[in-house]
Amino acid sequence: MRSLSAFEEALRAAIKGDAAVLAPWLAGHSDGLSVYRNTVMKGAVDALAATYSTVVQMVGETWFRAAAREYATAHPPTEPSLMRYGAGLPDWLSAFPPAQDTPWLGLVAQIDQMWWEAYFAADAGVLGPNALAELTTNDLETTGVVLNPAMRLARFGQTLASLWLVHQGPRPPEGDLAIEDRPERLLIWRAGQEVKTDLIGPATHAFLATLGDGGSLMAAAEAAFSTEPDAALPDIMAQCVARGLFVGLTSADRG
Amino acid sequence: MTPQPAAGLSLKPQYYADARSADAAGLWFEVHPENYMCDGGPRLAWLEAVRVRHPLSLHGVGLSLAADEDPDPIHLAALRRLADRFEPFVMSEHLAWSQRGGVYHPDLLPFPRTDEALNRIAANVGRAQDALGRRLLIENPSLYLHLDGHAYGEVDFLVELCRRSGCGLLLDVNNVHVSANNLGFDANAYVDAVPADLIGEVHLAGHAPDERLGAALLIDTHGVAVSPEVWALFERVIRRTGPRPALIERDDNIPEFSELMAERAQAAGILSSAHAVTPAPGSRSRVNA
Repeated sequence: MRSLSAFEEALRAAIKGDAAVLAPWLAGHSDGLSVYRNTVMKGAVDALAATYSTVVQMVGETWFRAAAREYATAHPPTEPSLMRYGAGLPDWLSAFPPAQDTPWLGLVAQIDQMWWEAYFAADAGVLGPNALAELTTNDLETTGVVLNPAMRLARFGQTLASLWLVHQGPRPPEGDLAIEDRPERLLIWRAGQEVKTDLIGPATHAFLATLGDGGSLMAAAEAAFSTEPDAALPDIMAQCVARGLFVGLTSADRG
Repeated sequence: MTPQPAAGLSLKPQYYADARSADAAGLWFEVHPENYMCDGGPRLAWLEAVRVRHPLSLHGVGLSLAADEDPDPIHLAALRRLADRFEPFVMSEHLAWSQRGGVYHPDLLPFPRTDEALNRIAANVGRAQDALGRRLLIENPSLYLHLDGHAYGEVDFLVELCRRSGCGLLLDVNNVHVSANNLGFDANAYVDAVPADLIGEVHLAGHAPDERLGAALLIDTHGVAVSPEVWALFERVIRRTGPRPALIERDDNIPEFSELMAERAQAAGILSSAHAVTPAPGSRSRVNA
């Protein structure tokens, strides 16, 4: 059956590896097939390398590109914009047998991914410094916050946020990069058009996580105090506002 | 007022600041819209800043018009949003396919130029133009395989596609050179056969010999300067058609901005020395026939 569909199926299979299926469609040699194979793979691998640049820095270009080729073969792009391609790579990397000596690699990839999510997120007008000042105690129980769409929050059982952060400078880090079994919490957000990252304390994390789950400001405050009984809540709230993490108020359940 | 686009450049993130401040006469920029399909953030802000100063072209690589399936409505809607926001002076795509059955191949893949393919692609171009509310220019691809079963030469196929769908052509003279070398046809005869009134834009780019096969297989890398043979093809086209918006494409091995501006100046010189001998592109009298 010499239809357009049949040809496209044959070329697709040939690019994946089965060159023989293309033979009936060729009027000459198949040398050019490698150009299509290389371009298709390079497009996917380049996109992954651009997204997961910290992972590339840590494992080296050669190791990363070899791993990315395996990922791209198993999980090829599904849409023409490659900006979000490879969302499954962090989990895949965590289960990738050759990466078992570095079990934290997938989590580092996850931070890279969150950084790009913040980069591409919608622009949003943020609440001014006095937006929360006028709320009464009653209001706090029924008012939640619309978080900035560019905000991302993560918690790790080890010092992986620090590990990621030391790789963001203009030069690769030097010296001992030991990973400690100490929890860390990372906040990623965008101030205007600039993506920012900071380690945050348990109370700030609990406060923002509760708001992110739709909880009220009161519920978020309670969550903050339950992790750090002496948390300086007014400071935490002021800093959230100053960072532009709040773009609006909304009604919320106390729970 | 937007100036008349003459010679332009691919816009890469490395060039945002230079592009915004550059003020050469007739300078314009082209981007792949697939790299701007996000909700917000710095990339769109930069494109906006460049667009305020310069004309812009959206040159798609992912519409997959030659696939034997309908264009992806989600992708078309994303293209439409970008077009409505940035008001490009031209939008273009390729005579190729890349998506099929939910898998996207980041490349521009070939097909046998049959009547079936012509019917399908004309319908797809029509659907895309309707969804975008704009005419498309379709670009000739770089080819690497001798396919069996072509019922049309590439120029005849493209001209018929324009006649049926109302699209125009983006003539990539580097692709003509690469394909002519790889498949053994005469590049001069190819460009001479393309009707001048269908050509809405011309592309120039660099190519490289295949690492293994050498000059027998040239690859459209967009990674080096435009070659003398491609400049000669460009002059040949422009002498015949008169000025057309012309673009230096560079996607890999990105040099200093000044280096590309020098190549752009060479293209601008050729454009300004050409005398218009045919009606301006965009005239739809022929293509609506």
